[in-house]
This record gives sequence, C-alpha cells and structure tokens, in this order.
Amino acid sequence: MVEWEGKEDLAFVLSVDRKFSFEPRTRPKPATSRDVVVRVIATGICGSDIHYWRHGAIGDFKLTQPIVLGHESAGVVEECGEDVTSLKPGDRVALEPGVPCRRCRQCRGGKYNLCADMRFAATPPYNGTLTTHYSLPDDFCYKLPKEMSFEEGALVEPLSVAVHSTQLAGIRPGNTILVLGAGPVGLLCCAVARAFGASVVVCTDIVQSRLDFAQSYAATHVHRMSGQPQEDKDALLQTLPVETTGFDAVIDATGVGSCIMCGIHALGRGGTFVQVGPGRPIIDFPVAQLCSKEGVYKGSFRYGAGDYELGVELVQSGKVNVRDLITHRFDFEEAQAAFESSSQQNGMKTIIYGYQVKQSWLAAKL
Amino acid sequence: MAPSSEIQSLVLHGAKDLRLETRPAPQPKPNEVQVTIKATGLCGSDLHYYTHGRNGNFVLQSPMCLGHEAAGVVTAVPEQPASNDTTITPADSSLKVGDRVALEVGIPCRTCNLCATGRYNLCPKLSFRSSAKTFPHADGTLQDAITQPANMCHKIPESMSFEEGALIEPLAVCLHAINRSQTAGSGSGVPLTGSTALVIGAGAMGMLTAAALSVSGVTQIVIADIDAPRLKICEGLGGGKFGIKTFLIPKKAPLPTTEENLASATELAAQVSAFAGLATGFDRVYECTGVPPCVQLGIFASTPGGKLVLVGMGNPVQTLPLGAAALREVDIIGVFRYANCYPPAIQMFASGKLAGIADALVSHRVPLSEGSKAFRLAANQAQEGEDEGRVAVKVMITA
Repeated sequence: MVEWEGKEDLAFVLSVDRKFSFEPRTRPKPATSRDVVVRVIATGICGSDIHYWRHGAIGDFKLTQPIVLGHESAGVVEECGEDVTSLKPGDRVALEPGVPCRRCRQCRGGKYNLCADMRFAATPPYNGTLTTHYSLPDDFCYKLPKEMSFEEGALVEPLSVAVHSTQLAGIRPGNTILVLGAGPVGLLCCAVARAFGASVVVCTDIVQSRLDFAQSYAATHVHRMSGQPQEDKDALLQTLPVETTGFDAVIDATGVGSCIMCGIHALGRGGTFVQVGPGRPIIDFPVAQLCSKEGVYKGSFRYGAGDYELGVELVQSGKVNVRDLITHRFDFEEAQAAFESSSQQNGMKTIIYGYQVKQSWLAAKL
Repeated sequence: MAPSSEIQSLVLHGAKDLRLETRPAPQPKPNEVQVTIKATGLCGSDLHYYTHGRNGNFVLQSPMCLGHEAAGVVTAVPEQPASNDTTITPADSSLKVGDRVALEVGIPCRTCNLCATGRYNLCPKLSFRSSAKTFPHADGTLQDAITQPANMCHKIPESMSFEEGALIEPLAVCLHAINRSQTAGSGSGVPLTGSTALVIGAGAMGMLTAAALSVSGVTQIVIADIDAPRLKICEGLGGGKFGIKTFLIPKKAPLPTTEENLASATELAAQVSAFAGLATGFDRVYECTGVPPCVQLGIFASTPGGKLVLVGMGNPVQTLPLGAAALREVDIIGVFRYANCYPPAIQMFASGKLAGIADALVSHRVPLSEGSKAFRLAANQAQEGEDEGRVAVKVMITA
C-alpha cells in the first residue's frame, strides 16, 4: 500500500533563467469543496515541458516566474473536499491537468478545451505536477481500474490527445489512415485509429528506429520520408493494399511543413486532415489541392469531454497498449537527468516517479 | 435605479392560491448579480401549476413563485472579489449596474458529462426556477427582483424592449427545436433555406417558431390550428412579410376507433400538403400542441426522410402510427428547453428581423399586484371584460 511518510512536500522547480532546483512546498488543501488533493505517483515528460526548459516560452506563453513543470500524471487521492462524493482517499486516479471556467460560451457549448480562461498545469503561470501533492476538481480525476498501473495512468494524458485528434478525423470502419510522425503522439494516434476500426494505418518518420517500433506497435505499414513531398506521396499511395487515389484521413503529428504538404497531397477526395499540433506557426500550404479535393483541414487542441474516459477504456480493454511506450524511468531526485535524457530523444516515453515513491509501486497493480 | 431593501413576490401556495408577499431584497453572492424584473411572460407550465398545483408529475411541495420568461435590469453587483479568488471567472464579473439582461433561469451542475458536451439542458441536477421538479423549489421571476449567476444573464441591446427580452426564453425553445431539426436524426436534412415546414398549433410557441423559421430562410411555412382568430394573428406576423400561410383544422370529436382516427389524420395530412402544393409532405414539422391527433397529423404530413420535432408537451403516452414514420425514415425528435440558444435568439432580435413580434404576441400586460388576473387571462378563464376583447396569446406581467 502506498503510504505517505508525512514529511514536507518537495517540488521540482524551473527558474526564470531556466535552471532546475528542488524546493520545499506547503502541502496544498483542496482549492474548493469539490477539489481533491492527490499524491503524485508517476509523471510522463512531454515535449512542451522540454521546450519551456530549453527556450523559456512556447508562442505567447512565456516563463516570467518560477514554475513546476509536468502534466502527464497519475496518483492516489489523499484528501477530499467536503462536497466530493465520487472519490475517496486511497482511490487511484489519472489526472486531467487543465481546469476550464465551465461558464464561458465555449465551456457551455461543449468545447471546454477552448476555454479562454483555461488553467492548464505547466503552462505559465500555472504550476504542474512534478511535485508531491496536487489539488484539482473531482471531475477531472479518473479512477484507474485495478489492472492499470500508475505508469499507464500517467500516459492517459498523451493518449487523450490522440483520442481527441483521431476522433476529429471521423474514422469509420475499414478506412485507410496516414499518420505522419512516429513519436509518442503519432504512435498513439496509430493505435487509436486501429481501435476505431481503420483497416490500414501507414505511419511515417525520418528515424528508422522509430519506424521499426511503429511497425511492431500499431502501424500496418511504415514509410521513411525523403523530404520530397511528391515522391513521398507516390510511395505512400503505393503502400495501400487496394488502389485508391488517397487516404480517407490524414493525421499530422509532426508539425513539419514538408510533411503537411505531403499529407495534403496524399489525402483522398472528400477526406479530413487533422493537425494535432503545430511546428512553425506559419507554413506554405497547398490550398489548391485542398479545394479541388474538397478536403477538410482541422486544428486539434488538447482534449475535451469524454476523451479521458475513452482513453482509460482503451487501455483497460487492451485495445491500446501504452505500457510499451515507456522506455526510461527516473526517481524524483533524478528529474534533471530525466529531462536531459528525454530531450535527446532517448527511447520513447520517460517517467519520473513522485517524491519518495518506490519504483516497485509503479508497475504494481495496487 | 437604487434597489430598495424589500421586494414584492407573487407566491403560489396551492391551486389558484396566489399571494403577494413582502420579502427582503436578495443580495448577490460573489458570482451573481441582482436583477430588477421588468417583464415576465407566462408559459403553459406556469398555468398548470396555477390551475392544478402541479405540472404533470411535478407537484408543488412548498410555496413557490412562478415565471421564468423574464428580462430586467441589473441593479446590484457584488463588491470586487479578491484577486486571488480563483472561483470567480471573467464570465462571472462582466456585468454592471444598469445593464439590461434576458435571464436564463436553469442552472446546470457544470461538472457532469452532459454539461461538458454542451447539452446542459439535460443535466440531471439542473435547477430551474418555477419548476417543482427539484426540491427545494427555486422561486420564479414573478417578483420585483431576483439574484442570478452573472453568466446566466445575457445582455440585450438598447434597441430591444424588456418585453422582447422576455420573449427570448420561448424563442430559445424554438431555436433549440430548429437546431435539433437540423442536426438530430439521420444527417442534417435539407438546408433550412428553400425548405418547407409545417407548424401545428398557433399558440405563442407555434407563432414564434413560424417567425423564426421565416427569418431563417424557410420558403414555405404553413401553420395549422383549430382557432381562426389565432391564425389571423399569424397572417399578420412580420407585417405580413413573413409569408406564413394558415390552415384551419376543422374541429372534430374523436372517432370511436384508432383506425378511424388515424385514417382521419392521414386525410387531413393530405389536405394540408395539397394546400401547400406539396406532393409528399413537408421537410420539417414542428408539433406545438402535444395533442395526440396533431402528433399523428405531424407524422403523416412529413415527407419521406423528413423530421418531426415534438415541441408541445402533451400526454406522455400516446397512440402513434410509428410504422408510418419508421418505414419512411421520418425522424421523430424530442426537445427539452434549450442549450446555448440565448445568444442567437438575442442576435435575431437585434438584427431587427423580428420587429413587431412582441406587439403581435403580447396580448395583455398586467402588473405584479394583479397577478391572479394575468393567470386567469392566460388560462382562458378571464372574468367579464378582463380580456378587453382580445384573445390571450402571450400574457405578460410587466413593471
């Protein structure tokens, strides 16, 4: 059983001049009567965490005060606000780290991921989960089935990004899907697309080892990109077992201009292209292709209603395997080394354990 | 206008037992505003509570104010919250004293999946003013003033009157029905513009639906009712420019058997379609009575692949020709109040396209102190001369 030894909280803090340190923190209380306090057990590192460390900003979000990073987490509920009825201390949960206002037009209209007042963990100025205890609303905690480990629970966050984007692609059973990018998000999109009934999922990348992994993980076919959009498009269409003029849907998990160019060319008539995240903010775009094939180009941003639940269900039912994406594990005190390792693109997904968490707790199904 | 420390409230204690009472003026909590009510329209549900002390299965369990179709002016806002109070968001604090608002009086929980997907009208914990569905009952707007979460008060432009503001609520019901007639069921159906629609029932709801359909580009609109004076009002909507055609349904007693009644409904449907020059029926039908023979008419009058929206709430259990709907892929669509429809309703009024609708629909205006008279008028039980010779369409209590 996970036990808290009752010492002071410790947080892994990034300073404004981008230096890491460990600092004591007061254990938080539930922020409202519907909040819970969670002991953080496992946290995955995301590219955005690396980016804030390396560059101090992402777009308009700039580091102007010290921040705790990390937002892909799972843990154990330790304290519940007085109006919490759905959770109790001891519950193992995956954390959805973005709390919307619930009242603005976007929230009420069903798209809380677009809330202008969103408070998202590890996006300045809001602290993230690389700390000992974290407080959040009860409806943003998702109970883990006892067969799911804390590590898997932490990966429900990037999986939910994949669930959200892949749903936007409108996949129907038997569809052919192109996923550009074999990093964690691209791989998860491949897995979700298969779970949604796609018959063909072609995954691309420029790194051969990532492609090898994709082939064994969730892609039906892989292709190494040459960087020449036309050549790549022709090669990709040739991978399709039944001759067609294009893919039913394309999902881009690279943000790279030449990949997007190729993807639009490879898109089938009437197809949907989902941009999971941007690379450069402005790119050259083949608008004529999009128009003539009446394609739809959709932006995708984080995740919304129902995505976390579906993510947990996909892992629990075995339709998506997140365990095999975890290649590196570090104790809390080694968090700096974890960031350095992850930033060199070692392996696939790196997990940092919570403060004073024993490694044996993570893989265990408690 | 400075808020006074006491207000008058019109409280229902039982069937036909309305009492004007004095209460302390409510003070707004940190996320609320105080609104002085300028106009409240009466709705069929208010009438049920007044007449029977219940609305279907919802029975009055304690005294309750009625009224939920309201507009007013903000007369008090909370003091500035502390800057580290994370429970107050911009949506809570954007109103100021003097702002004129239409009130959306159903407060959802905001934490369930239905709320998160935008269908907050279906939230099981939704608390709706003037409804005995939940206990304790939330008092309605038939009071001098109420307090309300700021984000459920929608600003209306100066060009809109308070009476128009009070029509936003029923218009939101119509817009929700029109939305559902586009999105629910198999695909989106034909575009509204250029399509055909039948509205059954020329009460305030039917009239507003017909007007909203016209403004939305529906080309052919027929409204049907058994009451000729109400149909006459429909003809004049929009200064006659809405082009709403009217069909008088002959009043008939029900026939002895189901088969005969269905045959009668089939024939009536054929007559209405022929009247509109339509060979196979209407693209969309909005049933605004809840009366079984009208719902049956709605099914038969739908074209194959069409959509029938059940706006009217009548008998919860009815005998209906389901085969005639199912085998022609006519989608039967239920609606419950509205979600996210106040902003487009306000836009519709602000655009000027519904100019004159309040004058056409608001048949009687009564002060709060004469509340019982308002209910008698609305229930068609007016005493001698009370109706001033006008048929009651929408009765409003105005300040």
